[in-house]
Amino acid sequence: MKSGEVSGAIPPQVCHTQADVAGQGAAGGLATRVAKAAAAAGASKPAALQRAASRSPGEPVQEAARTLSLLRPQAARAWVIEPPARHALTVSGYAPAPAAAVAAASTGATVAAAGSSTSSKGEWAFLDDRRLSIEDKLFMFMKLVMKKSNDELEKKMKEYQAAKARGTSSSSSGAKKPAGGLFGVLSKAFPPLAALAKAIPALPDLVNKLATQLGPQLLGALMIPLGAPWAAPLVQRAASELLPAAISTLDGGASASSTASTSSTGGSGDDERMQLLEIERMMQKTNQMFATISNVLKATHDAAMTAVNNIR
Amino acid sequence: MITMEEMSRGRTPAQAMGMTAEMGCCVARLAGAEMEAGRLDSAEAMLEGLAIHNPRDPVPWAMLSQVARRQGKTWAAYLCAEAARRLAPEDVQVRLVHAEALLGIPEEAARGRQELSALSAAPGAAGERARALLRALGA
Repeated sequence: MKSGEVSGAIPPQVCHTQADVAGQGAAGGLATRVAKAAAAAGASKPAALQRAASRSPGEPVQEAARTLSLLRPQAARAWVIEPPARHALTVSGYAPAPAAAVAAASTGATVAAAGSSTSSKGEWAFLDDRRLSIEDKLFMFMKLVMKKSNDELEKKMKEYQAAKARGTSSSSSGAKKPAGGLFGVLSKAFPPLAALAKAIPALPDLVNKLATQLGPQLLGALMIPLGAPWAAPLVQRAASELLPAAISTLDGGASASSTASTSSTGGSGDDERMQLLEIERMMQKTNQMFATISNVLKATHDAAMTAVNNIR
Repeated sequence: MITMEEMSRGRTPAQAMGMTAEMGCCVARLAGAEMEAGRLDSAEAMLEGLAIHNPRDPVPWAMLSQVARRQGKTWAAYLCAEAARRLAPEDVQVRLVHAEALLGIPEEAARGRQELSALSAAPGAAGERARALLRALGA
């Protein structure tokens, strides 16, 4: 097919007129104008543009964004692993999908009209709404998860405040920092590591370098696929150096055990506090992820709006 | 709410938060688009979040490996690729990412070449890339 040739029967110019006559409104006309502008610029995929132009009105910004994305040169793309949609549905570790979505995914059947409320599942019902684009769903998902995260975080903070008021928490300001970074802590927990370090002199540096490159939470999560899920909390705690009490226990067992025996309630208070800090950090990571997604969506929206505003 | 002890027993934050596989795939695709656009920091933030939320999904680990390799963090790339490989040992794309991560480490480069040779017969984009890499390596 030649550049600029349209696979459909109706050329863009005619389509524009038909859309206007049929009363498709500003959105249909806008998409057509985007398609015309792209066709005039020698787009490599006029058939796809034609499809974008002939769609019914609705969400002109997203239509324009999709159309513009087709103009990108395919050859310039780097190879990036493609998350297979079918495979992802079978990966363990995720929450089960809503029943309607699972049925649609397994049978390939289309979900019933959006008006039906049988597949709705409380506040997550928007995931089944076929009228919403993936950007809208992502935004609503982010909003809901952020709200839940913030509520939980607030609850934990109140619990912490209550525990502190009761005076159950113990001071850890005098805790000794671990020597030798993450490897120093790990080698105290697993003495064979110290022997291994003698055989491989670069091992401590490597472990400490990985801790700085990957971050404590990712290192903790890494233990699960590497076959040591039991080590995940330990590695995360050690890497983030958020457990001075545990580190001091590793440093000198006698003093730590005497501390634990004198105040068992204080020990549990420390545990709660440390758990709170871990969860706070996890929430921070969640917030960071969603903030990034939010920025991306905003950038996409702004780019689309710039393109739309430039159409005269 | 999820605790670290629950995590060590196999429960993931994604399960606790009701995050479905579809949403995980969606975030991974968004991160892939960011990688394509060259915004590695943004992609890394998304993928780290995804990997932490469900450490059993090989896709974020494999993509994190790609990001780390592009950032010059060869050992981090190797570790992430190893995690992905253990989760999906038969997946062609994961094997390719693993082989590329091995190529970045001088001591493991030979193993990476072997893996690429094994992958060169695979169909699709992964096999094509493996063949191209082998050609570039002079094999």
